[in-house]
Amino acid sequence: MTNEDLIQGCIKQEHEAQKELYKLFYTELMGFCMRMSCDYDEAVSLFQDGFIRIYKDIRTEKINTSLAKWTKLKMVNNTVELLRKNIQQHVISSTGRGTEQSNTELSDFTFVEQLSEEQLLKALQKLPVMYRILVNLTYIDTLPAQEIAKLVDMSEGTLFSNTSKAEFSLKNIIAQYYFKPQNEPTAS
Amino acid sequence: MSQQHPSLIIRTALKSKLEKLNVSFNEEHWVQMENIIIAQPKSVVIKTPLLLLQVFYSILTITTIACIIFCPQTIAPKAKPVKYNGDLLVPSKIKKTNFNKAATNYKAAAIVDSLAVNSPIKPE
Repeated sequence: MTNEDLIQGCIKQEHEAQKELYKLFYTELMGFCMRMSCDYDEAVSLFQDGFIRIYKDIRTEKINTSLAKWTKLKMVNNTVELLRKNIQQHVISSTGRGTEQSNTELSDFTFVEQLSEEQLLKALQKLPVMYRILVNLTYIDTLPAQEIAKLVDMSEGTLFSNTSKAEFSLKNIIAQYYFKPQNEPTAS
Repeated sequence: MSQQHPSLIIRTALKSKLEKLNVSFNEEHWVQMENIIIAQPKSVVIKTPLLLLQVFYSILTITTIACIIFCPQTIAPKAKPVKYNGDLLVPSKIKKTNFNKAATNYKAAAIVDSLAVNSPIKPE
């Protein structure tokens, strides 16, 4: 089934086409949701919600870019929107962890390269929600600063300052949880 | 060997390890999604108001065009000619002006007459 067939099938609300689309982008978009959420359950909920929006918008919007780009953009928009809605709740639950950051000053961070995918993901998920969004969109998805600023409703100056704070916070979390003087990464 | 900046190391590790996470397809998630899709109303709900609006605008346009063609009087009524002094046909605007003039002249004549009546010098 080509992408055009998939789109037409989804417009006609055919279950086969909808499942095909779901399967096609599952790995990429679920991975994105896992990075953006604080745990697996939240990731699943964000992912399902994003896909409902994709199915809804595919019927009304004209897709000018590639299907992959369009679905990713829809998922990013929906996830950021939902996370920002619950931001108060997240800030309250995560500020405690944010303030008790270690003051470890490390000049050598090469041990990070030895951390597993899971360990890095856990460190990222420990960040407060807004910091997590910024680190994800800036360093992993590498979206342009203008686009991120629009998504999170911030000026570009505030965005840069918050991103560097987020990075500092992540560095502290990594150092606190995974650094050992002997440079032995610990299991989470 | 030169040491890399910690930020650069972290950014590189994040990008290389987390950009493409190894997540395999979970059939259970699709079953959940299928249930959500079935529970949701079909797109007819979204299309119906739009269709009604289109029909309404079409009727409105047709009615307006028909009015312009068949009864232009309804949209822009012309000034009706009126009779003045029994035999003269003039538009209402002119009639009003003439009437005002006539009224003014009549008043002036009446004043002159009353002055003449009350005057000590009586006309012969």
